[in-house]
Amino acid sequence: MTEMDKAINAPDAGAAPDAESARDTEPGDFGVEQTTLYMGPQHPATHGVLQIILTLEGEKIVRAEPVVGFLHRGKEKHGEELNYTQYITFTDRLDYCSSMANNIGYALAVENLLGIECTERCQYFRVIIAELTRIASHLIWLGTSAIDLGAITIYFYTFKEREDIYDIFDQITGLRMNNMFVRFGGMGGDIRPDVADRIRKFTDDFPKTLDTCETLLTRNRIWWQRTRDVAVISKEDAIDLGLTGPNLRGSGVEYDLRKDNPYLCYDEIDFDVPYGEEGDAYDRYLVRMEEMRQSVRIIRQAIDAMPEGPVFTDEARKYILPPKNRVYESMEELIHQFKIVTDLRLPVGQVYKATEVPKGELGFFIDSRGGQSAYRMRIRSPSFTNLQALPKMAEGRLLADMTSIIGSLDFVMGEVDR
Amino acid sequence: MTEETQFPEGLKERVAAAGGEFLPAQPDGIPTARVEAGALLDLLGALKTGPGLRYEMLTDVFGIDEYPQTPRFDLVYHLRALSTGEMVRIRAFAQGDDHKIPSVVGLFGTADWHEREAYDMMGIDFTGHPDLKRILMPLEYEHHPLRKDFPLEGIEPEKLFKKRFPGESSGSMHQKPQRKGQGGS
Repeated sequence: MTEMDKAINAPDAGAAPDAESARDTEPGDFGVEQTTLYMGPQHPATHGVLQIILTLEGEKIVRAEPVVGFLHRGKEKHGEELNYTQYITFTDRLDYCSSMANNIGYALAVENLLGIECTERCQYFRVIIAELTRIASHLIWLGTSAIDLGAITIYFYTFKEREDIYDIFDQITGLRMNNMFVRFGGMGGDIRPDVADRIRKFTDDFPKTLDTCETLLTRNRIWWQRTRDVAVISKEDAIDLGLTGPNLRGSGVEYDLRKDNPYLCYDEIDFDVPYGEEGDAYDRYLVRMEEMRQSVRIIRQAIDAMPEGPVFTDEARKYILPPKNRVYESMEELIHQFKIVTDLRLPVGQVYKATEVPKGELGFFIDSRGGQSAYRMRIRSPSFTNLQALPKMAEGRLLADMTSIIGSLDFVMGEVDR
Repeated sequence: MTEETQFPEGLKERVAAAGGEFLPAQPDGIPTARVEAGALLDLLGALKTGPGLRYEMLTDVFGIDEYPQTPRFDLVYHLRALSTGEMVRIRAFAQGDDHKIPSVVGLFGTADWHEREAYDMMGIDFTGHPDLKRILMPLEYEHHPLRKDFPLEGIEPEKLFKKRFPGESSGSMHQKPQRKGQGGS
């Protein structure tokens, strides 16, 4: 008789478990045997190449350990080799859902080191761009995190709107993604009046789509059950873990760099910053939804209040490549281009500039020793820090909540791994 | 460009109590102080709790490689006071030949991954860190890529490849293709 048969033929096999103890057991608790499950790096719900090593007891997560680095491209190392202008393209590819917001953060750090400030029109232009990328990034988050939890319809609504934003970017910069449009002390071009009208039309139309999405999700019973009281992070833990952006505000910490450390012209614009209370996935969902509405408000105000004038200061022209056709015709422009390409040096100094990108606080620390490239280029990426909260959120939850947790954290692996 | 740095209340006293000194003002206006590695925990603890402005969030931890000077690694800690948005930058040199510095994970949970990254990239030994292992590079990697004596092209990529796939004999995909006419001699 095998072990199995012995177990089956044992006198009390198959007897109904005693009712008292059955009630005490948690759902999904099938005993103490632990299994290890490798989730990712090729998993549709991990939003990139993230691996999570899960220790499970039945269906319950005992421990979750994120393994990152699959997309490591040595961006900080490259920052020490490439010159400052070349490095703008590297910032595009950090959080590829909001490329131009990263450009702006980097440009602000370099401008601080150079001691130049962009014109007023440029500041409004940058605010419009930053808020458009915020909406685009949040739309990707909304679509993908909803599709992970089974709400497929949302995906098509959000990606239609995102396409609209990318068309606007296409008209402004000539590229849909990885635009590389921000220059030191200015922008690569100006907003044409027809594009400004298109942005106005977008701010009129977009809230309607947002309403549709809210109708589908905000009071949806399934969405509630998948997100409420899931992935809870308390106020103290959020600060301790260094969360920033909507993840921090979802836990009720009133902190937003646009309000608390105003950069560009955010202090001239009237907008509210939403906060959550519980710190669960549902609160973070509400915070991001409201942020999109506030972004629309900001864009509307900025595009109406945008003053006329140049996008560059004369001071900034020293650091910007001249138009190519002029280089072929004029000796001065040729010399100018040659100087920038071969010998653009920044003054000695150390600068840390942080901006509020869709994911949180993106900071660039540049240690310049007077050379053509930085001595140390440090990128403080919000996603990397936010991902640290994952083990705490997952502990004690069911395996099925994992998609909900990953969705609600909203990280991008390009920024985590750098 | 370089303006007078404004010191929030209580900052100067706490830095002085830990035996630290302020460094010259930088263009970004963030007050910067340098302390001995031994006094680092005391200072960060005092900055976190007060008295005066409380810097409750550790934004970032990273190293700067001052190769070939000794001490070689300069650690930078960025702290932020959430009530006002003020920042302070604390710097300390890692000590000894094996670049030791006390870990601040006990004070700020966020330092866990930042210190693992600094260990991975530069080989700084954070004493007291609960689980100091590589984070971005593969676990079996032998070098610290962000050191100044590490070339951008990398060192011995084929060695790593062989280790991961021991059965493979043909070296790595990074190997340069053999040109015709070179192997004759």
